[in-house]
Amino acid sequence: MPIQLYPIAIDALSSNQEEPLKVNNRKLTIEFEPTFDNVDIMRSAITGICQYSFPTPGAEALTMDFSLAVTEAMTNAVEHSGTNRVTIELTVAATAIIFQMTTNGIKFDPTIPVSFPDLSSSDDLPEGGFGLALIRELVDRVAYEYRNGKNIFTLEKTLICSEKETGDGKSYRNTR
Amino acid sequence: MENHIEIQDDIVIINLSGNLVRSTGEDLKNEVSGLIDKGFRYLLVDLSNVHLIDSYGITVCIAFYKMVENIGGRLLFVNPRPAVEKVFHITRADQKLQVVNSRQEGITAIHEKIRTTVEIK
Repeated sequence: MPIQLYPIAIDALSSNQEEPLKVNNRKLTIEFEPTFDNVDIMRSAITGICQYSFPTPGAEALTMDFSLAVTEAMTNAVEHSGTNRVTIELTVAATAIIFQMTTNGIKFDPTIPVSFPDLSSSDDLPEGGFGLALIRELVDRVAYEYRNGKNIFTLEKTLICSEKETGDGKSYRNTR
Repeated sequence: MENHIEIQDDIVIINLSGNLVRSTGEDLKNEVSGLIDKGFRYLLVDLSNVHLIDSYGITVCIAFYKMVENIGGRLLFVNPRPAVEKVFHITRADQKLQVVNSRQEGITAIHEKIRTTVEIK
């Protein structure tokens, strides 16, 4: 079965790789059918956007953290929500990258207590339940809203900027 | 994800490359389960070329561990990249899943396990 992606909009994408920080916001919206293969494609796209947007020292770790967090969110939606469409809106701003996922499946409970079990003292090792805990560990802000029958899940990774460390007047960003 | 399997003596070396995630983990789990059903008890999983592992990948690795422990074998993970090692650490999977720096280190550790097991018998 062919993979179907539905690109909706690309707003204000910068074509200037030399000065990406001067672009206020860049926004990409994509809608896709809920399959794990499509999650892989979206992860590749988001990873590429992160690499494009943050060509600075520390960007690799940021990209991996963010890619993993959004993978967990999308996989969870595909596996558990029962939605028939997943809509992703990715916003790249000067100080943060924001992932917003909208699904129309069952209501998600973001207040579920999550933690990583102490495996060293456990004989009955868990085979699941790490996803939401990983998301909370890897991004700086997690928000959830249920509106008009839709789950809206937002993940934000903040970038800490510092120009002092370079000493050359260039605007390198240090990332968390 | 691609995987390549080698067998050295009684040790199965599984070389993984790509991403160990929800879309790829199930097939790998079935493949390893099949190897254990065939009687292999000693596994080295080489993670050198795995770029990303998600929570499902971690549960697959824990499942490998449980399968191998249940038959008195040994499972070692070889040389994970920093991003993968970080997930092992954050999820505390590294409390159970043992990581070695190189294949040779893993092979030596498993040979020691085999030798000890034979001596006890």
